[in-house]
Amino acid sequence: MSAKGQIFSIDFLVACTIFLITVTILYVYWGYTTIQIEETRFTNDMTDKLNLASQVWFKEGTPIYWDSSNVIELGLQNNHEFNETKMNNLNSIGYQRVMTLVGILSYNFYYRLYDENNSTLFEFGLTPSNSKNLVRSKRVGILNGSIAFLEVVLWSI
Amino acid sequence: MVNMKGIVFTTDVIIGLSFAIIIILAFISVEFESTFPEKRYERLNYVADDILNLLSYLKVRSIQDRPTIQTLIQNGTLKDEDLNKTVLDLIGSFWYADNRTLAENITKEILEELYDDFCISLTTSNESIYSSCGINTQDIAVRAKIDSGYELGRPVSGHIARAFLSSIKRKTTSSYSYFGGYVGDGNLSIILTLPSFEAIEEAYMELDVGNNFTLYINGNSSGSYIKGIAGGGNLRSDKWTVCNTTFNPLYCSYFKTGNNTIGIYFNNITDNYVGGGYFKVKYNTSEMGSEQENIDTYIFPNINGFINLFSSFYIPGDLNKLDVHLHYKNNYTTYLTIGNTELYRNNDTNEQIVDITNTTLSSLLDYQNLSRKTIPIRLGTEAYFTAMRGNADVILLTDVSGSMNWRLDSSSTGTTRDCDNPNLYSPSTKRISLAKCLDKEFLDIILNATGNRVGLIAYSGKPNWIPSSNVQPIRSSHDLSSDQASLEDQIEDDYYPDGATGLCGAIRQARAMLEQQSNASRQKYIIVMTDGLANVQCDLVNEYNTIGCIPRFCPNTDYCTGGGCLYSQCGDYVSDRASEDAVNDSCRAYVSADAIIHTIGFGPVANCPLANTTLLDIANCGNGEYYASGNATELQEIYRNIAEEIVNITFTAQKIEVSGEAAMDNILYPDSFIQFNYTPIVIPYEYGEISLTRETERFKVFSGDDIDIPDKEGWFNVSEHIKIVDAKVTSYSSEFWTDRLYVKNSTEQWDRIYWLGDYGDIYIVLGDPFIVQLPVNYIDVGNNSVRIGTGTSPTNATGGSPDDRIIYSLRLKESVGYGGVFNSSEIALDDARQRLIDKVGDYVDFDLEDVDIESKSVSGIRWLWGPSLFNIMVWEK
Repeated sequence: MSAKGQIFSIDFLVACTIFLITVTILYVYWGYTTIQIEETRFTNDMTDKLNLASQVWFKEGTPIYWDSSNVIELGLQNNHEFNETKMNNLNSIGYQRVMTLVGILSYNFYYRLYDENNSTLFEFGLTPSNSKNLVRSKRVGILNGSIAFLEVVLWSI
Repeated sequence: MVNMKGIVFTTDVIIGLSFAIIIILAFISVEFESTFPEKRYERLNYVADDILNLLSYLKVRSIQDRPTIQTLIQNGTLKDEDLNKTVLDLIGSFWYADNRTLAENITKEILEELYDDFCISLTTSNESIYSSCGINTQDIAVRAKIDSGYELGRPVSGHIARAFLSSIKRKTTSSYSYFGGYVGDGNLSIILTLPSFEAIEEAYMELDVGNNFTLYINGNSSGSYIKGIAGGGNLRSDKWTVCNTTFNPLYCSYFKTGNNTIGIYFNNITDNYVGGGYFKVKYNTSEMGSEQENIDTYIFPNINGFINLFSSFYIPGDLNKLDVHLHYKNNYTTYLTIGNTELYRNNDTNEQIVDITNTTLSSLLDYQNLSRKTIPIRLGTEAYFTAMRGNADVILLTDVSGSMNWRLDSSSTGTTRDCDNPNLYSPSTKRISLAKCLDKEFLDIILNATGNRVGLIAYSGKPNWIPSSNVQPIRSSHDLSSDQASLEDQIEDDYYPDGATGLCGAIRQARAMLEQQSNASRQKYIIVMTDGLANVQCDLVNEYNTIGCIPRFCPNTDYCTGGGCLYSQCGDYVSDRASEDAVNDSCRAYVSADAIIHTIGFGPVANCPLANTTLLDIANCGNGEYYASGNATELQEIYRNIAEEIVNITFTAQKIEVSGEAAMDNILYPDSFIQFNYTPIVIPYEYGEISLTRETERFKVFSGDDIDIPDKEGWFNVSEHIKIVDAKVTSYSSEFWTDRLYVKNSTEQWDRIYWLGDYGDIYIVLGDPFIVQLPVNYIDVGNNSVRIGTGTSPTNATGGSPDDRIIYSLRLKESVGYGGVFNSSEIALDDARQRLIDKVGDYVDFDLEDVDIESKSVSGIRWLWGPSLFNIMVWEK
C-alpha cells in the first residue's frame, strides 16, 4: 500500500505541473515565432518588390525609348533623368500590365513624384487604403533638370 | 524522517522551477528582426546611388536658389557658363582650387535636405568635403566615382594650342664679309655676296681702320668716314651704320643680288689699312640657305697700293685638297705664307696669274696639321724701300779697353782700318777698328725699322792702375736714339782703346739708361761685347754706382771693399769678384729693366774657358745668348744675326713704311682665292632642331673698356637646352697680331687653344686672324670664359680689344604643350607662341623674327581639374 500510494504523491504532482507549464510556454512561443518568421519573410518579399518597383525609375528599359506598344522591360530614365514621356506612357500601359512588367503581381503599388516643396509632379498606381501590409521607399532623381523625389508604396489588403 | 522528506521535496521543486524559468527566459530573449540585414544594406546602396547620380548630373543652374550659389552668382564668381556645370564639377572645382568652405557649403545645402533618416558624407582623396553626422555604425554603403571637371573661371569649351620651333625664319637675315687681321696698304675692296632679296633693311660696318676713307658700294660713293669718330682707336673699331630704310636709303639701293664690291678708298697716302672688321647687310629674302658643302673658299681682298695682307682661314673639317689661285701685279717681290710655310715667292713685275696645285701644296704642307685650326696666311711685298716699325731699345756695349788696340788674333798691336777697307776682316786689323765697323752695321740694321732706338756705351776702366779705387768704366755713352748719324759719330769719334775691363759698371750704366729712357711697352736689349776678362769690381752697396775698383794681386784681397784680387788668365788680368759682379748686374738688368742681355766674345777670348764661362753666365742670367769668335767674318755674322733677330722680334706694325720713291701701282686682284676641299665634322641634326647664330656683348661689357695686356676677357653662358655647333672670337688687332686665345669652362683651367707662336717667333712673316675659331669641344654647359690678345712677338703682348666679342651658332629643339583654353584659335596660338618665346628666352636671346613656330589648335577642349575619386557614404541615423 505504501509503495502504490507514492506515485500520486505531492512530489509527482508538482513535477507534472512544472512540466506542463513548461510545455505550454514552449508551445505558445513556438506559435509566436512562426508568425514572426512568416511576417519577416513577407516583409522582405515586399521590400524586394518595392526595390523592383523603385528601380524601374532608375533604368532606361528595353527598348531605350520604349512606348506602350513595344515595351519589353520598363525603365523610366534617359540620360540620367526621369523621362516624362515614359512616365506618361505608364498610363497607356495600364496598372495591371505595369504590375506584370515590374514583377509585383501579388501587391498593389503607388508612385508619387514630388518636388522639393512636396508638390506632386506625377502619380501612378493605387493609393493605399485599408492596407494591412505596406512598405514605402523614398528615392531621389532628376526631372527636367531639377531635383525630384520619388515615393514608392507597395501594399496589400 | 518527516522533516527530512520535506527538505528533499522543497529542493526538487526549486531545481525544476529553475530549469523551467531558464528555458522560458531563453526563448523570450530571442528577437526576431522584421527585415533581413542585407535588405537594409541594399536600401543604403540605393540611396548612395541616387545621391551620386544626382551630384554627377544635376546642373548648377537648377540649384541656383541655394544661398551659396546665389552669392557666387552675385559676386561674379560664377558666370553663366558655370551654371551649366554639374554640381559635382562645381564642388570639385572649388575643392581643388582650395575654396574648401565653398565646396562644403554647396554640398551641405544640397544633401541635408534629401533624407531625414540617413547620414550622408561626401569625400574625395580621403578628405571629407561634407558629412551630415558622425559615423556610429559599420553598416555603411559607399559609392565611388572618378570625375574631373572644369576649372572655375575657365571657359567650359574653346581652343587650345601648342607650339614648337620648326625652322629658321629666312625672311630677315644678314650676310657678312670679314676683313683679315690686317689688310693693306692701299685702297681696298672685298666681296659681299647676297642672295635674291626683297629689300635691304640695313648696311653696317665695324672697322679698325688706319685712316679716313670714302666707302664705295658697287662703285657708288656711299659716304665719307672719319677714323675714330665712331668709337675707333688703337685696338678699337669704329661702328658705322651705312644705311637703312630711313638713313641714307640711297646707299642701300646700291646693293644687288650676287657679288657686291665694298670699296674702302683712303683719303691720305699713309695708314691705308683695315686692322680687322666686317661689313654686314641685313635684308629680307624668301630664299633658303644652302646646305653645308665640303668645299669652301677664302677670297683675297682687292688691294691697290702695296700688297700687304695678314689674315687667316679656318677649315671646318679634315683637309683633303687645297688649291691656290693668285692674280696680281707687283713691282716688287711677292710672297705667300700659309701657317709658317712659305709657298710662293716671285719677283716678276708683270701681271701674274699663278695656280699652286694640290700636288705642290700637299708636298709642302701637313694637311692634318691645318685641319680644324685657325691658319694664319700672309701675302706680302718685299722691297728694299720697305721698312717695318719696331719698338726695340738696344744698348750696345763696346769694350774699349787697352787690349782692343791689338790684332784680332794676338796680343800684338793691330792695323787701323776703315770700314770700307777691303782688309777689314783680316786678322791683322785692330780689334777696335773691326768693332767700330760692326757696331755701325748693327746700328744700320736695327734702325732700319722705324721706331727702334739704340744707345751706346764705350767702356773700359780708368785709371788703369793696380790697385785703383776710383775707376771710371764708362768712357762715353749715347742716349737711346734713332739718329743713326749721331750714333755713328759717337762711335767714330769717341771709341779708342785704353784702360781695364769694367764689365759690371758698363752693364749697370746700360740698365740705368733703359730704366730712365725706355718704358714697359718697348722691348729692351743689352749687347755686351768684350775681348777680355772682367777686372774692375763694382760697388756692392749702391747698385747704380758705376765707379769701380781694381784690386791688388792675389792673394791680397783687402784693397777693394768686399774683397777680390787679380790674377793672370788667358793673357789678361782677371778678378773673380769682378766677373761675379758682372753676372749679378746682368741679372739685375733682366729683372728690373726687363732687358735681354746677349754677350759676344770678341777675338782670342773666345778660346778662354774662364771668359766663356763668365760671358755665358751673363747671357744666361739675362735670358739671352752667348756668341764668340776669333774670326772677323764670323763676328760680323754674329752682329748681323743679333740685329736681325731683334728687328724681326720687335716688329710692332704690319704697316709698310715706305722710304723714297716707290711704285704704287701694285694690285692684288679680287679673283685670287684659296679653295679647300675637306671632310666636314658633321654634328648631325636631331629631329626638330633649329640653328641660330648669336653674338655676345662686346668684351668691354664684361671686363671694362680698357685695353688689357696681355689679353681681354669675355664670356658667355651655355644652357643645357642648347647645343653649340660653332664658335669664334673676333679680335681687333690694329697693326699687331692676334696671337693668343684661351678658354676656361667648368674645369676652371685656362686652356690655350690658339697660339701664333706655334708658327714661329717672327710674326712679320705670319698671318694675323681677325676671327679665331673656338673649338666646340672646349665649350661646356655653364659659363665659358675666353681671353684673346695681340702681340708683336711671343714675348711682347700688346693687349686685347674691348670691342672683341664671341659669335656662336647654336641648335635647339623646344616646344610647349597645350596651354589655356581660349575663345578663339588665334588667341590660343598667340598664347602658345608667347609661352614658347618665354621658355626659350630663359636661355637664349630669342626673337619671333628668328624662327618659324609651328602651332596647332584644338577646339572644344575643357580645362580640367582632376581626375579625382569621390565617395558618397550613407548610413542609417
